[in-house]
Amino acid sequence: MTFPASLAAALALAVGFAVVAVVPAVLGARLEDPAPPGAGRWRRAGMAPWVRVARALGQRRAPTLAADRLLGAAAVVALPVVALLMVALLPLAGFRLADSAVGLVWFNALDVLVWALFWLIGWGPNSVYPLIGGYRFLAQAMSYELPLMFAITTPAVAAHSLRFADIVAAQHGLWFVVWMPVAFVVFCLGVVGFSLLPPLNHPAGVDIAGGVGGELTGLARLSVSAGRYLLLTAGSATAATMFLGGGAGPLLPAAVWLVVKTLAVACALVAVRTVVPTIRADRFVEVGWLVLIPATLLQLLLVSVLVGMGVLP
Amino acid sequence: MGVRERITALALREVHVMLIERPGGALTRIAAERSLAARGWRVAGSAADADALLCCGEPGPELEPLVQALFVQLPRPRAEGRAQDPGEVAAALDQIAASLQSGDVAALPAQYQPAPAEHGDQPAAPDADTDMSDGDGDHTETAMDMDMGGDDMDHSDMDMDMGGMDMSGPGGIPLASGDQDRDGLEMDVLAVRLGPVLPAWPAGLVLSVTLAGDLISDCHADTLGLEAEGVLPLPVSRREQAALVADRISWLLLLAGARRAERRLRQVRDGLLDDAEIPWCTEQLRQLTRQVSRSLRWSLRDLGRIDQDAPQDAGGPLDWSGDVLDRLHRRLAGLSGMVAALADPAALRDAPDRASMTRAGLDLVCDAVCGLDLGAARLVIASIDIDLTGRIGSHPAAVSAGSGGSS
Repeated sequence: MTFPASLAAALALAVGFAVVAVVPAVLGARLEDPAPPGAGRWRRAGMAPWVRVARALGQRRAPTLAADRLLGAAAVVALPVVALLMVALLPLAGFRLADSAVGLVWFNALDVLVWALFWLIGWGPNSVYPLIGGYRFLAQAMSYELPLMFAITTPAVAAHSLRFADIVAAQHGLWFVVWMPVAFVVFCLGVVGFSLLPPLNHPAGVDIAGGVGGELTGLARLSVSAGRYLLLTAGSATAATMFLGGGAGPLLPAAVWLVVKTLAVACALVAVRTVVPTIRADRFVEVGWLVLIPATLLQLLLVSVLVGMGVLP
Repeated sequence: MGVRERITALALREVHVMLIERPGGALTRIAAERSLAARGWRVAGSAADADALLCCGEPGPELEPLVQALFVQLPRPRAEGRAQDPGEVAAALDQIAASLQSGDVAALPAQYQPAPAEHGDQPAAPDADTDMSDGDGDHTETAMDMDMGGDDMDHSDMDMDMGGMDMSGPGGIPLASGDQDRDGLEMDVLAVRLGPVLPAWPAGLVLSVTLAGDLISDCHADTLGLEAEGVLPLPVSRREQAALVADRISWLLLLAGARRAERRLRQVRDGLLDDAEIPWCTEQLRQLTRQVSRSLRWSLRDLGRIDQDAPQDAGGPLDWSGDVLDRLHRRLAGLSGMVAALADPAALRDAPDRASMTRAGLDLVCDAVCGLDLGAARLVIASIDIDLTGRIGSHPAAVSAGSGGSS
C-alpha cells in the first residue's frame, strides 16, 4: 500500500473500532445506572457515551498540587493508542493494516505496556488514592499476566505459528475454544483485568474514591474511561480471532462475523459484574498463582500432547 | 443554539454530585441519592469527579470550612447546593442545574467569596484548613516524620538531615518519610485522614491513619460535626429507622462490589421509606441474605475478625464478634427483625435501642483496622454499624473530646 492509502486504512480502522467499542460502553452505562426499573434506563444508556464526551469537553482541568504532568498526561493519552495498536495486526477479513510473523508477541508486549500506563496514571496526580490504585493494579497484573501468557501460547502451539492469520486458518473446521476452553476463559479474565472492568476493578475501587483515575478531570478522565472500553474491545477482538475462528461463519461477510463475535465476548465480559462481586487484588493474587497458572499449564500440556499425537492439525 | 450551549445541555443529562452528609442528615442524603438516580445523575466518588456539591443537612461550624475547601477542588464549571431536609433536595438540585447551565464559571457562591483557600485553578495549599478538610484524602500528603527516635537512621539517607517536618518537598508538601511496616519492610509513611467525606462512610467519622504503603500502621478516631448547633431532628418513625439501618448495611455491599445485592437492599430501603408492603420487604431481605452468603462468602470470610468478648469490654452496644461476613449476616438478621416488627402493632411499644457509639467503640474500630490494607479496612469499618447520630444532643463532647488513639 502507498503511504496515503495506509494512513486512510489506519484511520478507517481506528474509527470503525471506536464505533464498535461504543456498544459495550452503552451496556456498561446501563448496568451502572442506579435508577429503579421503568425510568428509561436503556434510552439514557444509549446517550451515555455522548453525554460523557460533552461533559469532558465542557469541563476545565483541575490539576492537583505538584502533579507529575508529563508522565501522567503521557499515560492518559497512550491508553487508547495502545488499544488501537492492539488491533493493528489482527486479520480483519482480508483487510489487514500490517502483518507480522509475531503478531501474538505484539499483543503481549502491548498488554504489558498497560501495566506501566495504569501505574503512571495513578502516579501522575501526586495523590494518595490514585497511587494506591496504581499499586493495586500492579498486584492484579502480576496475577493475570502469567496465566494470560500461557493462555495465548496455547493457540500458537496448536497453529504452529505466532501469526494471527495462521491461527485463524488453523481453526478451520473447529474453533480453538473447543480444544482449549481453559485458555479461552483465562484469556478473557486477562482482558477484564487489563481493562479494569468489574469484578477486577479493585484498582479503581469505590473504597479509594475512584482509585487509579480518581483525580482525573475533563478530557483526561474521558481518555482513560474510553481507553478502558477500547482495551476491552481490542482484547475481545483478539479473543475472537484466537479462539472463535476469527471471521469464519456462514452467509454473512467475514468482517460482520468478526464484529459480532467481538461484541458477544465484550458484552459478556461487561455483564460479568452482575454475577461476581469485586475481587480484591490481594485475593486475586491467590487465584492467579494457585489456580490459574496450574490450570493454564495443564491446558497447554494437553494441547501439546494432542498436537504431538497428530490429533490436532 | 450554539455549540457551547448544546454541549452544556448534553452534559447536564448526567451531572455528578458529591454528597456531604452532616451527622443527622442521612435521610436527606438518601432523598438526594434517589433524586439523583431518577434524574439520571450520579453520586460523585471524589471531588475531581464532581460537577457539584450538595450539603445534606446544615454543615455547622465544624464542617463548613471543609465544604468550602472541597468546593474549590471541583473542576469548573461547578455548582453548590444545600438541603436542610429531604423536602429541599429537589429544589437544591434544580438550582444546581440552573447554575451549571448558566455557565457562570467564575462566580463562587456568596458564602465562599472570602474563602482564603481559593487560588484560581490550583487546589488550595495544604494549610491547616484544607489539611483538615480534604474529605477524600486527595491532597493531604502530609508526611509524618517517623524517625524521631533515630532508630532507622541507617535505612534512608533522606532522613539524615531533618529533625522535624520537612516542608521542602514539591509544592511545599513535606516528603513522605520512611518507616518499617508490619513485615519489617522500609515503606514510605503518609499521614492521611479518612473521612468525613468519603463514599460509603459513616457521617461525622474521621480516622487519622498512618499509611505504610497502603497498610494502616496507626489509627486514631475522631468525630466531626457533632456539635449541638443546627442539629437536625433525628428520624422518629420506625420505618425510617429501619431504612437507615438498611442504608448503612448497603455501604458494605457497595464496597464489596456486590452490585445486585446492594441494589436490592437499596430497593428495600426506599420501599421502607415509601410505605411498601412489609411482606415484600421481608421476602426481599430473605433472598438478599441467601444471595450474600453465596456470593460474598469467599471475599469476606476471615476478614477483620474481632474477639468474642472484645465489644462488651469496649462498651459497644452490639455484638461485633466474628469476621466481616458474620457481622453482615447478624445485621441483616437484625434488619429483618426490625422489618417484621413493623407489621406487628403489638411491637409498637418503643423503638429498638439506637446504636450508641462510644469512645471505646471507636478505639476498637481503630484496633480492628490496624495492620490491614486500606481496602480491607474499609470493609471492616463498613461491617461495624457506626451511627454517630446517637450522640447528638446527649453527650456530643464524649466522643469528640476523647483522647489517645489505639496501638
